[in-house]
Amino acid sequence: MATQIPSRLTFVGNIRPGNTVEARWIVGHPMETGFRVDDSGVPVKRNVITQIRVTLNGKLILDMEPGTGISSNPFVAFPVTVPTEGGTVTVDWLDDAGARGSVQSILLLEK
Amino acid sequence: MTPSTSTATSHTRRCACLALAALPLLAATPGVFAQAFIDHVRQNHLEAMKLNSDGVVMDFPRLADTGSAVPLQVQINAPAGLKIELIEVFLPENPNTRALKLRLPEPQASYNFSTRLRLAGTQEAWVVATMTDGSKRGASKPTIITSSACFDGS
Repeated sequence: MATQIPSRLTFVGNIRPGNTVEARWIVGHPMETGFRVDDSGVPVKRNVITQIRVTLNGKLILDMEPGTGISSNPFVAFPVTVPTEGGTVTVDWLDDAGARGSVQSILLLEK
Repeated sequence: MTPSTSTATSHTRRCACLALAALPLLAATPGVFAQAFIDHVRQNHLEAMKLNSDGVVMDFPRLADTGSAVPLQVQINAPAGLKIELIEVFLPENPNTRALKLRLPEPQASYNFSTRLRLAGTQEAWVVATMTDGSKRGASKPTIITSSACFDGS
């Protein structure tokens, strides 16, 4: 059974129409560079997240290609402009091993 | 033979002997010299681009205890009439130079982001932004790493 990789997406700022809030995404991924060897001297296979796609209400707003220069448990903070009707931000990722993950968070408008 | 010629000949012989003595050392550690050369070329290539740093602000620590997770915060403001469509983060002394590539499907007049970088050692981090007209702006900031994030068994 595949292990569930934890991921979290949160917002910082006032979620009001037209405002720009900071979205913070973090995922529990080892980001193996492929340059490391294990205790028995066998090289550890490279496995980094190679693609991150951020969508707002289904529309692509950010496309990222991380490399081995991103730390393990990658963290990215980026701005999101709140639409008039609010919406859903989705972050999808894909790694070298073919594992995929997705996390969604709702931009719940403040009254 | 004049004394000066004798000195010159002696000096040349000494240099030749030193070079011969250094050959085994070079042969024993070719990877180290090759890597140093590659790093030098990468750094010089970025410097040779003579990027305009106006509007690019980097928040990067001057000193970090470990290169495993060094926080980077970037704020970019495009010049008037232009928008940002691509942002790249380069770490010239890492085995894979490009650490991150951000493509904005909808170009923005200003953009900010933050992340955590893995650094192989003391070096300058570069941020290069490509505008809608193809022009580039970029800035760099050095950091000193007291413990590397690379565990390659060497």
